[in-house]
Amino acid sequence: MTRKVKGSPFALLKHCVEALLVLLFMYTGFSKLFALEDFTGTLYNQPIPHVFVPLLTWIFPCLEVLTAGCLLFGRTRRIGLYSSLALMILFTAYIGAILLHFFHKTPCSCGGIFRTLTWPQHFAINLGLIMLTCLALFQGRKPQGPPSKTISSPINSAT
Amino acid sequence: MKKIAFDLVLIALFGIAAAYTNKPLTVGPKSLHKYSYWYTTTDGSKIYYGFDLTSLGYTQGLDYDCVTPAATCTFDGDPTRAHSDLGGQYFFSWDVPVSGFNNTGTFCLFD
Repeated sequence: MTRKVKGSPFALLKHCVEALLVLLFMYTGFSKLFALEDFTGTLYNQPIPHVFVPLLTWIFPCLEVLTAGCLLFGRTRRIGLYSSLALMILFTAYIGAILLHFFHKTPCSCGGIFRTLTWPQHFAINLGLIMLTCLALFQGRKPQGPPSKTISSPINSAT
Repeated sequence: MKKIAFDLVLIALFGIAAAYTNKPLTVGPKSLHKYSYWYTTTDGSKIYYGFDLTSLGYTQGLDYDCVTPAATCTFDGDPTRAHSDLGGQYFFSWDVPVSGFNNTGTFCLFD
């Protein structure tokens, strides 16, 4: 059983994190959709099998927009936060693999303003966003102990 | 059902608008020249441009455009803008032959 912390500075922080994620995913998702051909070219230059590129061209921007959309509604906000975390972990793991020279070449980065960042900068920003998302997901709930049992004594019952 | 967060909707709209205004300029492919990069022949007789142009400050979509790679990755470069060769020397892309690349032979990676 969990309890939400409301009206605290944390609630404000959580809302700010959600706003940041909405801005990020709407921006990156629509950046890709507005320049789909450009994004396809970028994907072809990534060290991924080319057979997946036509599919990934649509999957990534749609997932990003869908994630941002989930964050807008109260009922789906938590799903949106989990989806944000999953996407950020996926992207960060990929950047980590690039930085560790896991691939045979270092590809150019993705769309939007993020193309101006170096891979280490991109990695640091992603790590920060993962931490903020975790904070929004897991620190907003306090564990509660098991419900206290009411001991009914024969005396109380009698009265 | 809980209500929609209108402040987040405004932020979402701002994100979409920012994405639209920052979308890369499309340069007509006819005004661009095509190059290969990342590879060189093992005998060293042919060198293909081995730089990540984005990391050098060139803007994809403006200075160059990546083309669907086949055996080697290629890019279309804007001939009016300078690029850098393997030795770090800047050159203008009109100095580079537009066609006649020899893509045959054994290629190896730079790194």
